[in-house]
Amino acid sequence: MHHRVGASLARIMYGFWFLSYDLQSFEIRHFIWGELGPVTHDMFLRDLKLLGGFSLLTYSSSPLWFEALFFLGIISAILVIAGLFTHISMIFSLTLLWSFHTRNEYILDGGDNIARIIIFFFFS
Amino acid sequence: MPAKKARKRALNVGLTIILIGWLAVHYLLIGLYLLPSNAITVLYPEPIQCYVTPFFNQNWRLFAPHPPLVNERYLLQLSLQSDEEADPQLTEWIDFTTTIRNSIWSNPLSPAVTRHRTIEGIFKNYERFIVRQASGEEYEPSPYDVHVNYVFNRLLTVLAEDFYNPQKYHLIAVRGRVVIEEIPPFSESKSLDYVSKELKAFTFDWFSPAIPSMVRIVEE
Repeated sequence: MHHRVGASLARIMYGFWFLSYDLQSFEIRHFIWGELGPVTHDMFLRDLKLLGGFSLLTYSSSPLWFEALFFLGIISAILVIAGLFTHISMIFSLTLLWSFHTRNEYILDGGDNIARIIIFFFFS
Repeated sequence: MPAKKARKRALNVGLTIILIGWLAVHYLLIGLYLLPSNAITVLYPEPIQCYVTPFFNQNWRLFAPHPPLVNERYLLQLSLQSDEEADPQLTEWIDFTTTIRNSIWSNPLSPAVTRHRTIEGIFKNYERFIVRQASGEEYEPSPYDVHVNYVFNRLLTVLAEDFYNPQKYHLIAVRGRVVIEEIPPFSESKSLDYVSKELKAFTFDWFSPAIPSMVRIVEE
């Protein structure tokens, strides 16, 4: 029983963590991850070519694709918090978070990486 | 049977050597990444960064406390041309980081946090490039250096857009400056006799405004 409560609390905290990224930068999302910012899509592709990495945002530079992934991230984070479709929403959230982290690595702090690694234990 | 045993033994020895080799390389790269900025990490950032990100990096200084010893402020200067005047005019140095930091202090969850991290990260990357470039007269910029320059140029151009009226002026060039202020030691932080040291400043070269498709044009 206790381990379920603990796991649920951890899931909810992770959900808020996913959500905080999107909501904190909502107003300036085009500066942080979009074409209006310092790292345009071309520069981002060049960055990946030089340093490697994975991101769903590589597939298109279309603003529609960016917005779709951004709002999908918000929806999946809400599902994680609510505990609905937990497995699939966790996978979506993590993949999207990873993609946005790769899109602009300058915004990360050390805790982000540790949290990202720990999250794999949820799936084990 | 002895042949089977020998094969098993060889396999064990081989695997042990591979494991020890990998651990040695792993801890060497992690050590280099965590150490304060040094010649190897400054001159060869790509292999270390490629290995450490995305699985092993953390910059909280969680396990090796390394508190900041200086405060850095970033400034911009613009060269603007108006249709009415023949000569371009220079703006004053614009300190845009103090405003962002004040927003962060008044609300630690504001978008200013990610904005500031982006600006700081790009400035620091460019500073490391300047150090690499200063390492020798024959230093040849790598493709990564060229990329760092593009991103810095683009950042300055994007930031500059907030400080002039595009209907009245054209942006001719923009440059950045870093002002470094030493943080008083903790023991002196409340002392009235503490005299802060002179500010240090580094002024970077002028950049022509970057356009979003610049990288694609240059690569083609």
